[in-house]
Amino acid sequence: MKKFLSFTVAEPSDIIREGMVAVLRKINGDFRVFEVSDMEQLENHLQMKRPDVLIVNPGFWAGEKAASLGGDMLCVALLTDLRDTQNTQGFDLSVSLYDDFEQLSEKLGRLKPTHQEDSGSGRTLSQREVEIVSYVVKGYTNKQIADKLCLSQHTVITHRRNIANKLQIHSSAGLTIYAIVNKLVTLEEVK
Amino acid sequence: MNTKTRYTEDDKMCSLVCENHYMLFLLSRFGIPVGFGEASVGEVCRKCKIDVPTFLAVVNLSLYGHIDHCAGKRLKPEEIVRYLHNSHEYFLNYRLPALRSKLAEVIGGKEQRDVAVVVLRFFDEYAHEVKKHMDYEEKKVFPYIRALVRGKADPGYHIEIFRKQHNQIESRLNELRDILLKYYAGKTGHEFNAALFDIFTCAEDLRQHNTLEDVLLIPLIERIEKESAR
Repeated sequence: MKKFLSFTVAEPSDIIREGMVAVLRKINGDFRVFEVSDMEQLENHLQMKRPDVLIVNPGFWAGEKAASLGGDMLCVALLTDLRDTQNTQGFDLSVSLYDDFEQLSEKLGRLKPTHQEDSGSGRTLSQREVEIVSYVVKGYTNKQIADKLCLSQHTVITHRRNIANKLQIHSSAGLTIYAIVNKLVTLEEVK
Repeated sequence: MNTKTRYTEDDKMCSLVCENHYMLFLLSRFGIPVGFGEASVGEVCRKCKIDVPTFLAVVNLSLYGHIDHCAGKRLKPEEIVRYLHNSHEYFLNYRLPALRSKLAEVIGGKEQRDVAVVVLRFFDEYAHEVKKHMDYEEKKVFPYIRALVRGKADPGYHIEIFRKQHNQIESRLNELRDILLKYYAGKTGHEFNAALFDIFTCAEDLRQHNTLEDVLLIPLIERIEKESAR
């Protein structure tokens, strides 16, 4: 069964947001579409729902931020400025408020969930990553892991993101199974 | 090859099932027993007191992703809710527990009890999530819809609230499936693969259940809300 993309449209303007949502639904009724109007809630929302695609005005969100969330979300910049002066660095794609329906469906129709392609999945873990997996499943926080291994928290987060990409496992319960099967930890250690 | 694009009430119920045996899941959730003889879909539904347009909408959506917008007007939300409620009972009280005991039987064996422990722990966390998801619908969304149909909707609630927070339900089950497929190292065989197969069908069934809520129920309720606001 084909997997349909899920989108989050994050935009405080009701007119723009609801218009974007209506266009997405028109392009493909099977898309799952979430809406976020309160930009302060956006990061929380992304953590919870993990959409495949985020559509957001680059004025509200720096494209680079996506990387810090982990996972493989695509970022689409929604440009509301005709003069094309907005910074779209870190975004995978940009659409304009003035794109017509054909242009939009052409652009958005091209999007594929990245994890269906080879985004590093299937590669084996490095020694460092194996260490981090075993700390994660033992219940250590990122900060504790960083302290243990003399790394910055940021580096730990990057490692965790790479681990999730390589193994395609996104939950700690899932990592626990992986760690037990591969004898990285014992059952007692994860209790 | 089956080139049908949708079923109507004049098709034979028996053909519907023979051509698409996954419909068996759907029948038991509608509470329709087999033994249809030569009866048509419409006849069987009426005999079991099932709303025919609702049944066809659920069938055609499951099979073809097809929504008939004209028929949409004839759909009864309370009938869809009834089906969804039965489906919840089915998943929570039958399907997930059955899958759990199957996994418990086949995972790990004697040598790898610890693998069984963590797999079942994962599964239990997942089942708990599904229960929370469905409980919300049972306690908040369905009562709201039943009241809305009677013209006594809770003014503090809106189907929009549900639409915004309604999330995918099967992704963690797919994660378990993938972990087992890619990394499981214990003894496998007929029974293990049968259990794995069950995970596939159960996840697909849950996905369809969610799709039904997203594309059939929510738009229908949105329309009723708009009409009653006039």
